[in-house]
Amino acid sequence: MFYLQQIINGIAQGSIYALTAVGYAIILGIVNVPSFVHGDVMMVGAFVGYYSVLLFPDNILLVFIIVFAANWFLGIIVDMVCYKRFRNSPRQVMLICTVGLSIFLKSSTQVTFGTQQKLIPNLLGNNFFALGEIIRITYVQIFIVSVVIFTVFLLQILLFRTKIGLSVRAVSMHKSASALVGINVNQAMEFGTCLGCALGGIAGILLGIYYNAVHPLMGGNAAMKAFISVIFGGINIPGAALGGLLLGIFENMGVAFFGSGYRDIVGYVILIVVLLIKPSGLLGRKENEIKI
Amino acid sequence: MSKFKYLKNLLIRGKSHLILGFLLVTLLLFPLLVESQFIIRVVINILIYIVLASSMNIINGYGGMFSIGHAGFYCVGAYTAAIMSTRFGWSFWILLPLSGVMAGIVSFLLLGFPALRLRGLYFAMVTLGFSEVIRLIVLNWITLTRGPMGIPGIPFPTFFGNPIMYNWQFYYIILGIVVLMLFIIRRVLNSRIGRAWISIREDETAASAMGVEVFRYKLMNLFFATFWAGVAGCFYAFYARYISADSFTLDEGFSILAMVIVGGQGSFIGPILGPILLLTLTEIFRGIAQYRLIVFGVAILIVMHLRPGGIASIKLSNIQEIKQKLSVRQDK
Amino acid sequence: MESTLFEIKELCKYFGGVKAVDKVNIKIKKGIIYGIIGPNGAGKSTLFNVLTGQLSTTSGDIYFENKKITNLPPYEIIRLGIARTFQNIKLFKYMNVLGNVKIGFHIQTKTNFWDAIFHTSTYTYDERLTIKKGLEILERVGLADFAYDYALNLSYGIQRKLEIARALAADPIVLLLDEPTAGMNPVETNQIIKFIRQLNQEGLTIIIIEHDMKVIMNLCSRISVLNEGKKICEGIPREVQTDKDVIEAYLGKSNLLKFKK
Repeated sequence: MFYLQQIINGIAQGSIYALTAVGYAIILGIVNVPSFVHGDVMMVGAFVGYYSVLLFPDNILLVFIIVFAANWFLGIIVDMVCYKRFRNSPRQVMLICTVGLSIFLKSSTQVTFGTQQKLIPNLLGNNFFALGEIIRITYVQIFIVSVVIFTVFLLQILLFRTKIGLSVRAVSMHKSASALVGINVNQAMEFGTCLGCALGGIAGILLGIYYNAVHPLMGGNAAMKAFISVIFGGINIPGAALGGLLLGIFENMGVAFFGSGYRDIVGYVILIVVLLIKPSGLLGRKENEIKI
Repeated sequence: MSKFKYLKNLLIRGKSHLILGFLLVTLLLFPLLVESQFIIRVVINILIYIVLASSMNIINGYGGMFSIGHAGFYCVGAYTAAIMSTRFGWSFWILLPLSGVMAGIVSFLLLGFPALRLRGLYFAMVTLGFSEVIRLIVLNWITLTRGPMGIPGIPFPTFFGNPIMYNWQFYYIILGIVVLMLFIIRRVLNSRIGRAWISIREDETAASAMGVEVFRYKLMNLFFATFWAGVAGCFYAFYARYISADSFTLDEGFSILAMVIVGGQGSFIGPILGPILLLTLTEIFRGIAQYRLIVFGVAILIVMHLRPGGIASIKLSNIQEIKQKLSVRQDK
Repeated sequence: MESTLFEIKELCKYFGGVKAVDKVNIKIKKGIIYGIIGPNGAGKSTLFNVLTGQLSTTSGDIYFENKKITNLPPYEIIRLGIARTFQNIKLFKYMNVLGNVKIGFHIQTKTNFWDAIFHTSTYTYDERLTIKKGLEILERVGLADFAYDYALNLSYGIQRKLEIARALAADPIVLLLDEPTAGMNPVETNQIIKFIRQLNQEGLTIIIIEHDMKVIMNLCSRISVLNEGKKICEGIPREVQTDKDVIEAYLGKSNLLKFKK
């Protein structure tokens, strides 16, 4: 029964990982650009969320809207600084720019807001559902899972039933063909980047709510989890979500068996195993393998 | 070649030899000319980072890979030296190459085999993970590394029985290491191995089609590069006389990357110019470590947007271009 | 009696549902110029990629000089004497022309770390060899004047020639050319035709993928036609020209009928 509790914890944590991974997968898989800065994008979302909560402690919906909008705007900046100019340059140039931006965001946040973590008040209290004697599902956990499900649902609608969503998907499959049929490639890719960053922002504030704290260096860990989830599940939206969910569950099981110091090791072990056995991930496709 | 061209060539080569000679003499006499211990320590620091930047440049600039996790290799070298000297009394001189080999082996096993088939971002993230895993191991394997307490009391190196304890002595050691390293790197790059590496960097598929065993050469590249990071780690351990996992965080890797990019990735003098510029800059504007990193982050972005080849790619023609632009503006 | 150099047996390469190469059987004799043609997307380049190891087979086998070479990696393929060029030119852009050719000698040299650092006799021998033979090949191809120019700055026709020069440096038995005249003007195309014929006369077997019918009909003694992954015809140029299936595949391309040798 203890393990069932861990699985429930794992699902809650896994859904946050899933959201971080989905945002990352949109940038890596759909926009098809490398990003080293997604973790710090999430961190920015968390900080914006933190200050919004201070300003509007009773209006959670407003907080989320603010975070989404702020991170959307951040996405425009990321695109301008790291991607726009380099659409036809070697990929490494974009990667290096995202590294530079990541370093900048981390350090300027530390300088501006201090290096201590900031505590987010517990918005939903410590209430929980109890099933039997041992199982507890906290309101926070339910909230997080609902937000993630809702977001992914909206995402599906956006990508598959709107014109801009179609453009983004078309560009992701074939840039030049899309240009030839009149799609504004730059706009579509910018939209995709903004979407990924905005989702990252939501993921960031959710992380803040789950751990009750935000910290300028939280991005690194969050990005690594997102990365592992995406590798584990595959560089596409369903894969990333599945990978994140499974990572959350495995991590919590690992903590149950071996102790909390081993949480991060679970992720690295999964990473190495997946890379050695099936690098394209659970739901990933083996695209043209040019052997070397 | 006409006689005139021949003489002109000789003069140009003669001039660059003169400059080189002058530089060498300055470097050799440097500690005797300068009183301030502070400046000597700054220069020693720059020299250590020249080793680290050159090491990363071998991977990023010549290996067709992109690594951000250099702190891990540096850490392995430093801890190897610290543990073997404090516990078993091994000599500094033996530990220099040994720490290098140790760093090479660890990266070979933990990084080389699982990750080398990955490209770009994915390989970079794994190097990051590797760097963190090393740091976590160091922090948690208390019986080996004393965990967060670090390893103090690393002895002075000895030279024929005499202890080496002055800054100027360490200066000559690191200078010697830098010169030796640059010499070796240059020779390797100008050989079949270097050419194979550059071909991998330029186009892996074509390189492989031309007979280059890409996986093997990438492993060699990784080992060769991380060897020098390990050597730098050993020197640092004996110089600082106390090490802990705090010196080997991800920020180290980022700083080294910034130096490589700003100096010019994929060039020979890039990793020399980068540390000189960035470290001198940060010494002038001494501030919190975070300010340093803000500068590094911005520097990377500026270089990528203006001149992706870094300082090393600024040729005489560019300087003339800039002069022309400035003179035109003045006319207006 | 000419011997069979390449034998491709029931070769299949599928990408999920897409049958890029579908049960292709081809025998290529030593010493000839063999052409592979077909409409766009027929699977010609994929066939090359499987032959030279860049892609793995889904099923089927490849024999070279009667030895099975299926799924060998590219760096072993070239050691057997099979060299190739690529459809989108894959030169080493930030190397100079001579440097690009020097890579071709990688399999003929053996300098290791020790040799490089201490400039042993192996090192000096290897360096002399690569420079001397490199310049020789550039002479042969007519690119000697460009030896120290960066590959990045060259014109398209010269880049293609350089790719062939690089492949020649490996001293191959057979040369696989993937659309060597793509993007060239008629003058350059004629030069390449002459050059390929000359290479063949010097003993090199050549397999060439081309869209330019003039090149194919001028050079090749035997041709295979691929369409949608399958081989639909094989024979001497005149046979192929008048084959019903081939004409259908190229429906709309009246060049095939109008061609005169």
